[in-house]
Amino acid sequence: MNAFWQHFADGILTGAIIALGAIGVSLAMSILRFANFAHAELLTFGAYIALIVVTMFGTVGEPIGQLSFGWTLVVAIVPAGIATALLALAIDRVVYGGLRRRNAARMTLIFASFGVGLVVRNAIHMTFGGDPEYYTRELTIAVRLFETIRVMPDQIVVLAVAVVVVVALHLFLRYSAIGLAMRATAENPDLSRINGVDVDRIVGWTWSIAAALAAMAGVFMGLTVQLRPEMGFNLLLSLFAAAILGGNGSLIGAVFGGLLVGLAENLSVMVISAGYRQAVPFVLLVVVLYVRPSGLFGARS
Amino acid sequence: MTEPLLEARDVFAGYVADLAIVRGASIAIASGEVVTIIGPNGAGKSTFVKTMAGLVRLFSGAITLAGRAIGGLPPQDLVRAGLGFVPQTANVFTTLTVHENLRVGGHLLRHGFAARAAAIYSLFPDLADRRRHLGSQLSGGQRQMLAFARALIMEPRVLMLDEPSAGLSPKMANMVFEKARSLARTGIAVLMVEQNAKAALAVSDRAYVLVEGREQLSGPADRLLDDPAVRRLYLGGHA
Amino acid sequence: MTGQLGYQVFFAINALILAIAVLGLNLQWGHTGVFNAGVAGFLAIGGYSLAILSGPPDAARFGGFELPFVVGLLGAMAVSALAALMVGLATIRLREDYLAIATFGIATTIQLIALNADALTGGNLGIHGIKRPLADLFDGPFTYNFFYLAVVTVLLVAIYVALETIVRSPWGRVLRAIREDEVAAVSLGKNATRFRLEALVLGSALMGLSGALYVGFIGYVSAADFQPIVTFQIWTMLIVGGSGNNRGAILGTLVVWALWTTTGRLIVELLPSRLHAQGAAVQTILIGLVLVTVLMLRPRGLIGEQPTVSRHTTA
Repeated sequence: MNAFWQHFADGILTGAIIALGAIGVSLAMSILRFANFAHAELLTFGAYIALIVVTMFGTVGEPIGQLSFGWTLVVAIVPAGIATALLALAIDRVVYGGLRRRNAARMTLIFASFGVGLVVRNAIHMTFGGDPEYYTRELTIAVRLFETIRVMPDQIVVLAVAVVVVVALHLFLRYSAIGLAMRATAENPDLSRINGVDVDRIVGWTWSIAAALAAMAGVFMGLTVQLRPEMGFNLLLSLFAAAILGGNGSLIGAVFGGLLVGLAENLSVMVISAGYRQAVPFVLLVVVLYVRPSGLFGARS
Repeated sequence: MTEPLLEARDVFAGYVADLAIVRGASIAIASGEVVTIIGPNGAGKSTFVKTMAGLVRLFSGAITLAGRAIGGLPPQDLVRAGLGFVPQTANVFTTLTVHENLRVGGHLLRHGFAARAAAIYSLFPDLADRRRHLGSQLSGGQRQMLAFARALIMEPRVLMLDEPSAGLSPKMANMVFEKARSLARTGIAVLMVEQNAKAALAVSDRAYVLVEGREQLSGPADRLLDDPAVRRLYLGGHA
Repeated sequence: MTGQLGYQVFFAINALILAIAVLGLNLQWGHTGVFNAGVAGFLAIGGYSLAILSGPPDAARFGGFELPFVVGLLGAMAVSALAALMVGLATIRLREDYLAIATFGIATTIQLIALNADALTGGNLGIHGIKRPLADLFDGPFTYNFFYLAVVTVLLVAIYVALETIVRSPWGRVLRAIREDEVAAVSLGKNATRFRLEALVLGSALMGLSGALYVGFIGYVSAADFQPIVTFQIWTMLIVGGSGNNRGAILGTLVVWALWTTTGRLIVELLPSRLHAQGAAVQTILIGLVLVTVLMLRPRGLIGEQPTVSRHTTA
């Protein structure tokens, strides 16, 4: 039973990171209207930008309390988010924007994102090499929850920040004018246009938010696991599964999808070999799509 | 006719390059007028108003609003200039509440939304009772009213309606037409595209008959109602 | 001189084997519009099937039946087709982008099975010592490769001719109709799902054959040969050559494979070995750029599809 709750806790923590990435995938699917196979590379890119910043400072900062990192890493998330957003906007301008103007089929955008992902991933590989990197090698002591579950202090902070970010984004989408325009554009771009919504601007907002969240997820993953050029790519199926399970474009859905996938991946090692862990989100996805094609939280169509 | 507010001359427009659906259409409408465009299916009526709303590519021709050239401007600039458009289908956001629909309608307003929303709710009391309902929970007639209300938030000078009576019961359709008429009394220029020619012409000042992408006939609505050719072609089934 | 010629034969064998997979993909995507992002998975199924059916026995592993090569090839096609059928039944009704994700997931899963199911696939080590067909009749790899090239060429030509016949048949016209406008095709009484499934199964059988021919040629199978990058290369070959055109598919294979192998050789020859990993990344980036550039500037590829359906324009 203890093992179960340990995997459960780990699942929630992985799930929080997956959720941050899946929100971006979900926003892209509903507003940009294609499955972005290069989204995973935004996580990787953000994580490595933070690594550059940390390396420039020469340290992650004096560890805060029981954490492995200090303020430098916290601050590094900002340039990481901005740089990743700029990368996403640049790619949109050069690649996807042109294809959209040509009214290219959705599958053309998916192909292009395949290619973009490959280019970004290998550019990172070329620059940083394939060996794993770490923000810090500072050792931390696990905290015990309910006496049985061992959790790293870093993981608790990651979870807390993820919750705050999701709540903030929820409020933004629900109450701000841009958030409302994003939801409107997701449902009907033409109707949004004739209400005065500048859809190109909304596309820019969508990329920026998706990329910034991806960068944050990447930094969290780099902090709790490690940095590798394939770190995002290996998470791609989890991101897609979470976004689709949650239902196209639903923020709350993507969060629950992320938690579900995180839990399933971590709990699965109790029944199957850990080598198959990466296939778990896929199996979950196929089963759910078979039963309920619109996802768990999506509107029935 | 007084000085036209919205004028289109020799408009060629379409979705795909080299494939014009609107082929040399012209139209003019003044403040306070109700003008209807009728014509057979596939005549390009909807494409014509969508072109003026900035949703369809304008190949050539001039469109002016109060003398200012607006052809080819993006929709948000047209909304700012005072052009309102209610599409035929999918004209409300079903995943947003009634109030959120109005907020999207007022997307370009920097301030004063609350006052305008209050004015709109007094004009459409049905919507006021349902401001927290989702668009998907409204009846067909209520949706059409919400679509009107949403377009009116910006206090447009011209309101274009694409088949406003489509899918509505005759009673609801008449209500919609009456609404169009009463909006015109406030000085708005109302331009409708309609299949339901007889009922639309009854509330219109003037009308255009569009065939194969350009106007074939135009004149006062009552005269067109009596025109034998129009009767035979477009009013036959309803006579 | 022999080295250069030998290399070219080697190049041609690999290219033509890949062309068979590209033709399979063209049947699925180019002719029917079925997205398969799991090409590498079906190649792997074919490759491992051949190794299990025709490979050497090993007490630690299932299979190693040492069946004749031809039986291995046919078995590889059958197993790939069966796998595609199962996959298709579960996913073919999905929206196209969901299908892309689902097939991508299938390839990942197959990759994991290849790496982890030691009793079936040999795990990390793979399966070695698969006897090359009729190898005893030749005095060395140089002459043998000519023979294998001939075998592969005959197979490719036969498949090309068969596919050309198929896509011009009433069945092929239905596939294209489904691709162009599924709703219209269905309204004409065609069961679109069934046709899409048939195209998926047939195309995947060709991918299985391709994987098996590859494994038969190099004599061993390992999971490293079926990474997601392979799916990507095959897609790029199809898009570059011209989706929907079988000749374009073959031409695209040759062009992209030439680009890939040439850059690979240049990296090995020009860069110091400590930079080879970076060089490999450059090689992959180049393929990515080729794909994106073709999509943007020449979406119909080198040879666009020949118009087989008259296009009506309506106002």
